[in-house]
Amino acid sequence: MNCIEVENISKRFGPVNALTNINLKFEPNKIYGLLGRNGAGKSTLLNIITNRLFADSGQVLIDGIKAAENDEVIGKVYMMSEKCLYPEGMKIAKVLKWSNEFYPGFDLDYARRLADEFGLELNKKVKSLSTGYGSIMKLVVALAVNTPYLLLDEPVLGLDANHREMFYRILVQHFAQRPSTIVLSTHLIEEVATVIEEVVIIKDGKILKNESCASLTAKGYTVSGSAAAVDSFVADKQVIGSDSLGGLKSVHILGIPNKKNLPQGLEISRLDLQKLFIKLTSA
Amino acid sequence: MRTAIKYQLTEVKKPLLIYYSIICLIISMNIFITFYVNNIGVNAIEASSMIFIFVVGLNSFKETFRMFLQNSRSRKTQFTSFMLSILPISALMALIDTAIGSSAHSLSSYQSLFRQLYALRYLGNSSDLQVNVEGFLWSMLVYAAFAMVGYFITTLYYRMNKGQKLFVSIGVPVFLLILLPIVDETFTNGKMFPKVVDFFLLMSGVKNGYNPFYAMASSALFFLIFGGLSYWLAKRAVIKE
Repeated sequence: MNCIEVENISKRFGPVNALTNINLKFEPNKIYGLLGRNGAGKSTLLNIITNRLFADSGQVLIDGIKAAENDEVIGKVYMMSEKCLYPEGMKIAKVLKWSNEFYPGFDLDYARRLADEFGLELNKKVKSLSTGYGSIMKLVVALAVNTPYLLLDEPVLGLDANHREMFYRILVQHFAQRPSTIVLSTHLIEEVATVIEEVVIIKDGKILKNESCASLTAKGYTVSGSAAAVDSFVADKQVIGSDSLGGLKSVHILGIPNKKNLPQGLEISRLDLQKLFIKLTSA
Repeated sequence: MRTAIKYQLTEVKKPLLIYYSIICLIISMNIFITFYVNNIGVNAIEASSMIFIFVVGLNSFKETFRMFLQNSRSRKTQFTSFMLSILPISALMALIDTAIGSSAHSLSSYQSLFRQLYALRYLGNSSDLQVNVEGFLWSMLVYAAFAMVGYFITTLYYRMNKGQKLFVSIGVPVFLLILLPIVDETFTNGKMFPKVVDFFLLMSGVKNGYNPFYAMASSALFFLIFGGLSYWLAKRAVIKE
């Protein structure tokens, strides 16, 4: 089957359980949001998928074949990591040249056009780039690489608002023209909420949620009103968090709201992905 | 694999050009100087080539490892491409050194390291061709072994944590330069070091009728042993923070 399958992956770093028995499937031609707080295990998971780290147990299959130490299979995946793995003394033009050599589908002309659009100077060395331009360089490669699977770990790190907006626009255009499986691992949930189709939330090395973005956000809602009325309304519901201000209270609930039974004075609003994420992962 | 080998070769191209530009300059100056001054000159450029290729080996792991992982290449590919690229590099360097040595020898009093070590073998009716062919093979295998030892050291250091690095960096010189001489003097009446020297003379073939084929076989063995150890270390290497 054409997908990335993560089977029973566990990984420890000393006394810390970074990942515990992770089972996941990244299906073809979908954009995933891999969400989690700092240290939740997102980067570890992506590094294991791309053979940069070894799992203590479990395996990763890409298109049904074991990925570890298999060039042909790992070659179907490009991972843009937070850390820059390109040689510091290498010029950007060389980075693109070598990406073109290593990846048969790499579109060098497109990469050069993108670099121009982002204002990335090709004669600069990797080490001379700011955090933002370092991310841009990696994004340019990622967008031009044309592998069936694209894993982007903190893709907009250090990017200003203009460049972030430009990246999301180009990403969506690129996806529309050449669909592929894209995994966006980020903290900026509000920004990616409109781009992602599927959501995987990791907490403490375990999968907390793995479902479509639409179905996940439809499951959450917020009830606001006087504290006493809200408390009484939510007594039998799955509360995931609350905020209080004076006598007013807002309670975030997992479930489908039934507006017919809503007492007077209470209001229901939809819980957005970021709020839902915060509530789910802050407990 | 082709791209991986190409990358490894490309990485060495520039340093190699700089190195041989310097060597050519030195040898030219040497030929020029020996026209006017006797008993002054440069010999045995193979020694500097050994250091150069050892440093090449030392610089061939960390950056390449990261670059290859970024470009979806396995550890096996990285190691194999290093093995397959260091052999032609060693051969090229051996060829250049042999050619330089042979030309400089005919124009000046220049003596290659090979000619100095195995001089007695070529007394009498040995042809220049034999000296050059054997010198080339000797240099190539010795260079490859030096490169692999460098690669092993850098891979070992990559795999070690800070404490282990400190322990090895201090422990090995202390052991070799202080503890071993003390042990040798105290317990073996100074017999250990002559044995070590004997071992190296045996490996180099100097003790066996100045036969360079012993050195070639030893170098090939070193290449394989350190290659095997390097692969054993490299295959479990991971990206470090």
